[in-house]
Amino acid sequence: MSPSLLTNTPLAELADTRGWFAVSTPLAAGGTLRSVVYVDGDVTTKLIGARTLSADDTATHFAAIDQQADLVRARLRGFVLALTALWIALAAGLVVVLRDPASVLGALALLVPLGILLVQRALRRTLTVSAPTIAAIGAALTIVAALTFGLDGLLIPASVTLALNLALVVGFAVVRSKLRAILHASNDPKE
Amino acid sequence: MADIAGQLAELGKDLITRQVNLILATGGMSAEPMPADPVVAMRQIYRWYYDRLLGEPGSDTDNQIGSLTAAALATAFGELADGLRADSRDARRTLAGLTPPQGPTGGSAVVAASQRLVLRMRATSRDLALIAGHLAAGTELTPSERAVLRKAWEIGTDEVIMQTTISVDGDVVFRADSRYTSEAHQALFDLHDRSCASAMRTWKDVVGAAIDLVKGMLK
Repeated sequence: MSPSLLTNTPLAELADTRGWFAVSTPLAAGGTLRSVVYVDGDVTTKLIGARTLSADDTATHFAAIDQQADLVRARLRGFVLALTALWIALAAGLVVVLRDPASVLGALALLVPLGILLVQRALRRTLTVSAPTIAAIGAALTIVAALTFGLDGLLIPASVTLALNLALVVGFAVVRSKLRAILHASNDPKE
Repeated sequence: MADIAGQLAELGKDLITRQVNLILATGGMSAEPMPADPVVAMRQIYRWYYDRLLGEPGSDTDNQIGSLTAAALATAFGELADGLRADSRDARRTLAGLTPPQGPTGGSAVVAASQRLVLRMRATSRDLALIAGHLAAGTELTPSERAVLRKAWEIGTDEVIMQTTISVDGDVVFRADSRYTSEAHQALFDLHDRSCASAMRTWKDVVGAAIDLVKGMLK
């Protein structure tokens, strides 16, 4: 994803500041309390122009920090939603602009992974498929449809996508089995 | 892609240790938010270091620091880092006679920096020299460099009266200035405690997101 695509989005703002945010709270007895919370877990709290503070001051300040942290999370969620909407709009745009079987097929190829993700979320714990598996299914469907309708232009990209994602599926399966072996070994009772 | 991978790797390194600082600041510039222009921010940080090392606030009477360019700041911070060869035995002795470069001439010997502060200034100066060098070369600062600059600004040369360092292996080191360890300063302890809780929460969010991502890939 190019940086220009993210310009003026909440994610660009977060990336630009590397996720930190600052909260300032004026103290009842004068002075200011300022905290900067960094995404890597560092926190710097500064008591400015005062040597002590009340419990209420502390509570107010950290309530503001919690609120700010929630906002950051909400921004991230908003970005993901915006990206999903953009994805659907792209698929719809393809159909509207091109108005031929290939565009319908392209739109379907874009939407199939999204649909499977939604199903996966709905059937959590009963259906577990990884992103490469979903992409491989989408690519396979595209190949079948391309062969059926004689859309040769789609064959090569769909085949490459299928091959890449199948390789990923196999790779992840190997990593998974290795991890399981390590876990089982570490769980074995020691002699 | 390489840039994103590099930034993730750097973030991963940063996640290994969390540092929570409680600072008492008297006010002035250190109480202000960081200026948007990184060169302006670095000039001010250099001025703080300079004044603290010389023990004479406002000693740059000709405001020479105020006109330092990014290239001059790179040199100044670099020479400052090289000059601050504080060791754990006696920082002041090793610093005696240092005159920070690029600043007013005829500065007196270092008199007013604690050993811990000197070590902090040395490490930060090294980082800031690199950042100023990038700015001088016309390179845009990376998010990581912005964060370093931000931390340098926030901590400045103010007193860190309580500091907790939490390592990923579970080690926790807590340091407190002995002047603030009595019951009369319970409110400051509580404040630091809440800051540690915020640090843990942020860290947990980031690490949790990374674990979710890996789990999703390995399903």
